[in-house]
Amino acid sequence: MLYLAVWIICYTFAKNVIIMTPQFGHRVQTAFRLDPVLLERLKRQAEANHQSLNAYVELILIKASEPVLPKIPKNYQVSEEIKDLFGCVKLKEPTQEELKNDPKLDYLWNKYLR
Amino acid sequence: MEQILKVKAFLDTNILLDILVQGRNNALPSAIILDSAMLKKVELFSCIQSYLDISYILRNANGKKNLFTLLEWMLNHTNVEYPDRFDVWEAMESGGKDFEDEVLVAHAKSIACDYFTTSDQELLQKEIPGMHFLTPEDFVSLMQE
Repeated sequence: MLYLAVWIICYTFAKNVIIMTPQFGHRVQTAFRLDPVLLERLKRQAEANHQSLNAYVELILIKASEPVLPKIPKNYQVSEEIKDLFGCVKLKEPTQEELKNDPKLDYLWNKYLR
Repeated sequence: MEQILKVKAFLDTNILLDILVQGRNNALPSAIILDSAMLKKVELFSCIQSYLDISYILRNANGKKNLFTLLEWMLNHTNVEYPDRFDVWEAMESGGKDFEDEVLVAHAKSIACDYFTTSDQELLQKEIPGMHFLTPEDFVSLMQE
């Protein structure tokens, strides 16, 4: 009986301190105010999906908030507006002397155009 | 389930140069990224420092008019931002090699961008939770999948 009590105490401690601590469990305790009808609906749907209410609501929020890129066809044609901007500057590479005399240009040229 | 939030993508200076300067490798994917702002599902961000750098590079190439046309388009269709003091603090604390890049990354992080598009090899190695560093080509491939 004593061994069982010690085991339960150790298990509870481990669960509360290690598992429930945010940096280990990666979950943060929070609270929301919800419409009771909505809450009941969520509870029913969570049960039907064999999930806890927490897991079910989290899944819904993840799906609703994840970034989804718009889909474009493989042969996507760039609009005329962008085409007008496209490749409109002919840039001549500066000479070594020009770069030597202009450290700022030297820095920017090496950073972006080499 | 319909997605509520727009994807946020930050454009590094080299993406803007890809569009303006003739003969750049990533020109087409960079142009498609810009066009994606018109699809209204991607919100694009860039930093004013990029335009200042480009204006300096292009100052002898009669590129000012074209740069202003691009900037006008960006101001109308995207978010042209400037980093604040907190971004500068974070960049200083990051210990990164290129301070200017670190400021842009800190700013992109502060506005919760999902993607940081760049062709800078060092930036592409970065790992920040919630923000993916992608080349313009990879970003366009994701949209085309």
